[in-house]
Amino acid sequence: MLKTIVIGGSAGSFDGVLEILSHLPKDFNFPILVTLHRLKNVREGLVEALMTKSNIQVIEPLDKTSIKKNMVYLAPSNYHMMVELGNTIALSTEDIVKFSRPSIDVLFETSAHVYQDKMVGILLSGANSDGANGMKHIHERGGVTIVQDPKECQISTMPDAALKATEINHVFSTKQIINFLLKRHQVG
Amino acid sequence: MLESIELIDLQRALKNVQDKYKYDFSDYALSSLQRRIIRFMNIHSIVDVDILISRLMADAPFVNQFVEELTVNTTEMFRDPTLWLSIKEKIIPKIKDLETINIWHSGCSSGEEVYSMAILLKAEGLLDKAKIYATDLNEHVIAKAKRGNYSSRNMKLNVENYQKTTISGSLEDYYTTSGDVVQMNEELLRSVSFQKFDLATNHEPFMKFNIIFCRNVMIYFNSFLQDKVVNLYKNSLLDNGYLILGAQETISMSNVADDFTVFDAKEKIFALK
Repeated sequence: MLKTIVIGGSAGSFDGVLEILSHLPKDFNFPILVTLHRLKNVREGLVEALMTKSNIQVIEPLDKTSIKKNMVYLAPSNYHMMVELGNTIALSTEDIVKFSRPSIDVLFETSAHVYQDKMVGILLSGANSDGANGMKHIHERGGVTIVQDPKECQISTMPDAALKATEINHVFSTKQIINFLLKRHQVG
Repeated sequence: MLESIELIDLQRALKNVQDKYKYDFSDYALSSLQRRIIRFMNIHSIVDVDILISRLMADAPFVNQFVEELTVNTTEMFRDPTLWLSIKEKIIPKIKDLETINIWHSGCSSGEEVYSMAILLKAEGLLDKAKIYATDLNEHVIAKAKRGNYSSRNMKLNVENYQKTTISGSLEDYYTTSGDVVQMNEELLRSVSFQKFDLATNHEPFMKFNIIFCRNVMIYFNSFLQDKVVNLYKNSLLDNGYLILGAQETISMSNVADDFTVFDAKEKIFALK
């Protein structure tokens, strides 16, 4: 039984995330955790930008926030966002991973550990390999792995790295990602 | 390369450390603790928790490194510049006429926050009135903070942060550079007393403060321990004293939340009623 959708992206991924969130219903059945590479000292603006089109509420969670459906949790700037056993958000100020804080690997790895096969990991456009190792963890624990079609990406380095690192169940256009998620929303 | 360890093995390792060295990690938040132990094991090419345990039991300096890896976060000076702007504009006016200003940096780690506040106080002409306590759980870490050496490379970010705080002068006034290393001016520490204090095991108030800093420390504790620590802070603040947390932290879920007002919601500054 699916529990969570987890999305990562970097350069070129904002439009993709916006597209996805604008096509999901307000009462989408699963929490969505999102880590986007972002400017370190810019604490405002990204949530607001996503909220212009997203039907689902987007927040940058405080540490120890409970993870619930009908919510998008966006990793705040200058923190790693992790999932904690007990289904809460855990933030960290540890060193950058793959030059990034927040790091996609950190979100994906901890999500895989907590949700095991009950999750979907989606990796979008980006210019480095952050997220590839995380996808490997997701796959090894039985979760579904999806990358944005490199042909569609502004920068395909990120999905390419994941494709090299592990088995990816689906290479999807943004449109196909949306259809996949809508179907899961209907059947659970 | 080690990628994961069993919870039961992790707990076994920590129990051994607690029994012998009195460090209690049992109420630390699990996700980050696990990641850090794995990272430590990989750095030292240890593939087996039993080998980790035997090395920890045999080698006290190795334990220092272990504790450092689990608890120290290299951070920035004036992290979240808007917080420091808020301290300058909203808190300084309220405390500048006090005879003494008591400040506690709990979990001072590598010391950047201590130097940041000392610099702000110096710029405001208040450093001599301040009595500052900087504590952490490990003496080795405290010694590092006391030394005040940081890499020149990191100072670039610190200077950028400083400029955004609008504090007068420039950050370069407060340190000297020798090649790759900067040395913070010693006079910044003249009002600072460094002490060992373990927030995981010690919840006895030792003094009352006008300001307590606890930024991005409690994110590494579970809710149970966090509650104990917030209670300690409640009992360690003077009336209208300020508790300053990290940018994405709160005390609103604690059982003593009602004893505080929100002084600055955006910058996570709380005031004791």
